[in-house]
Amino acid sequence: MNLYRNPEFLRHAWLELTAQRLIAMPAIIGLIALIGAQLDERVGGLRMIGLLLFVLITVLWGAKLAGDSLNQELVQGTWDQQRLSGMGAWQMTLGKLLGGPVFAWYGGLFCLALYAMTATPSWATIRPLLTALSAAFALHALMLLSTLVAWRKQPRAAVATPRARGSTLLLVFIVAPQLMSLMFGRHAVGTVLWYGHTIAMADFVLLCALLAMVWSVTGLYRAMREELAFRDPPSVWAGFLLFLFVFSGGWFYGRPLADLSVFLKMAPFTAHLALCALIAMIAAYVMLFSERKDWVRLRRLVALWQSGQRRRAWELAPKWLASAVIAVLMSAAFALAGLVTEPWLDGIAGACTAAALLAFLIRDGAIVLGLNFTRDQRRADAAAGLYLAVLYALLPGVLYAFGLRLLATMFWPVLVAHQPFWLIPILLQTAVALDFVLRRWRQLPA
Amino acid sequence: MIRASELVYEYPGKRALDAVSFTLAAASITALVGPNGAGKTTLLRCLAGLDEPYSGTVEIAGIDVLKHPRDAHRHIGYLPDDFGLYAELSVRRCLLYAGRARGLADATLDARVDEVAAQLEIGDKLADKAGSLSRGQRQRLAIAQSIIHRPSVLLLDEPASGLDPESRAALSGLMRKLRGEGMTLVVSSHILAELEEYCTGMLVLQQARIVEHRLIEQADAAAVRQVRLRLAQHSEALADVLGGLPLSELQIDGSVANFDYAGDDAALAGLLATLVNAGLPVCELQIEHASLQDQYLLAVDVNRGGRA
Repeated sequence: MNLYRNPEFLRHAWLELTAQRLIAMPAIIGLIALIGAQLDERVGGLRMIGLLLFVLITVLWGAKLAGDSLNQELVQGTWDQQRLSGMGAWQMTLGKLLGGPVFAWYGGLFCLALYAMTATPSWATIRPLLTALSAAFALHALMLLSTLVAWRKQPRAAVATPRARGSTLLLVFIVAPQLMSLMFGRHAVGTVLWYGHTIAMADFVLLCALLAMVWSVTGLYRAMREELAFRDPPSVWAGFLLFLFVFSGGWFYGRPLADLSVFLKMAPFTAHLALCALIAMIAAYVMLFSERKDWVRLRRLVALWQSGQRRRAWELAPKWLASAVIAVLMSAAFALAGLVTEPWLDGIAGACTAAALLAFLIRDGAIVLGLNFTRDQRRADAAAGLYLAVLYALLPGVLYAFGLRLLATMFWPVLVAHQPFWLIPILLQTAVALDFVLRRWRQLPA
Repeated sequence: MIRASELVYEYPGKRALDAVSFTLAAASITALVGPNGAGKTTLLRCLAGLDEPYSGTVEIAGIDVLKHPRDAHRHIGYLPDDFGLYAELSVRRCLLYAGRARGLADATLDARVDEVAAQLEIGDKLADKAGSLSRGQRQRLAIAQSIIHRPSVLLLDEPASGLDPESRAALSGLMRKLRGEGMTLVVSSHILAELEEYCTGMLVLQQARIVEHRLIEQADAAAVRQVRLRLAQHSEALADVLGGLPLSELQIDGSVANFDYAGDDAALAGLLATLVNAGLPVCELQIEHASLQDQYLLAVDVNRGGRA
């Protein structure tokens, strides 16, 4: 745990902390603080300037540096040497998490010093600091994780560079405004009712940032383990989904559901299960497009499963598959709960909707996999995305334009699929997609 | 020291390794040769535990690489074909980093850096940035990084590519020296003439399969040797003298005779004495070696269904 003895951290420090940079950073922050001191209350005082600079320099710019550092490693061809090194997964995680953005952290120290010198010590001043620190770790870990995931999808391909950079920019642009708004905007005031407890919004944001930090660092650690050739099943991913289920339950129990109009009619337990099923389905879609659909690995998984080596097969299971299995379980649980807790017709409608959503998940999964069951997988996901756009938007759009609204709704199940009858055309689509994927599977070279 | 058993590796649509099995002894240097795309790099990456095969096992220094990759990595040094260096770091810092990452203790690290830099003849470059080195120096730095933790197995993928003749000669010397220290080396290369200088065995991969695995030194000692004899001037007695000796495949063309001889070095010395004592004006007695390249081409040709 000694950071100074962490080879990865030291290497980054050697590369990033040059004498010129060590002098320039405090000089620039000092100049900005001077300007701030002159403007004073118009910008919220030096305290606010210190915190804002920390968010800008350490949280956001640091996230970019973290992503770039790992990306450079992958492109330069030094990654294999690291994978062969004697460093453990945790040592590597820590070294990269703190090492990649070490220069941003160096600047952040001056910002924090400015904040500490000008803020009155109280929970109200410590809380945003902790939120910003947690957000920094969470975002940095997420950037490193997204770079690794992008690389794993197409290893040894230079195309991972723009993709990883794209994800870097995307995350920064999505997260940055949200973070600013949560910390300083109108969202930072008020309360949240969660599991029947009234929690100050600022405290809740801190809790979310801390949880995000824990899970993103855990995710990075697990990705590092995979890179270091450890055989890990997707159990932590399943644990993460379970955590999301529990976390989301806070909005269903001990509070009125009036402000959650989608689930207005359902009992809290049933409504919560519906959300859990949706979360698992979204996770399955996200991982389906994020992970590499390596059919050699899938074939191995099937062979291991058939030969009774279930544990080894579970180790090879992709996360999209684990998510899909959980989605099926949660949908079944929701359907059963709906039939028990809701009026008979509502229960059937809920079960039909769940079945329709699952059928669409299977249909879409079959399309994505079928297109990936080929020698050259480079454009398979893009093609699948295009076909799904046609199925979800263009085709129903055309049918709608020609006045065939009833037919159009077959491609948008949520709105109408609350009767068993509507499952028939949806299941037909799924059957066609499954036939497609099975044929492609059988056509794969031996 | 290195044992691969029934290794199968598949890329989507292509089997890169097909039931590959072999055992390599400790303190040996094995040339891994084969046409482009035969699976050499994939095999090295599987041996290093960087890529997991579809099936089969790899054992290095008694450790199952697939089950305990991190334990095995302590015994492995690997230099990929497309190795990278931290261009902005000095050579010393590159080596310090490699040593620390491989778990060397701080107390011995500086001394080891100096030692390995001297061994690779980059001792005078320690203060230079890695990015400023020549191709040969970069190669030597990369090898230095790979062996800084004194691995018992060193896997090198095309280590001589891009090197000038002087650097290649130095590399050959280094290979022999590392082997002398007890290291087991596997070297993938297309430059067979150089592999011949230091390799003790040859592993030929073709179309994802091992088509030949032979120990070069043993093969030379045990095999029937082709001998070429030349006289200073034509002698009628040549056929009579050679005809009475235990030779085979005898061919005489004027003052030159070619034949196969199964004796060892002492027997060969006796043969020469017999010829001289018989009054033949021997000016040249030469053992014709089948070069590594000849052996490789023969193995590949046989596998393709050519001449046996």
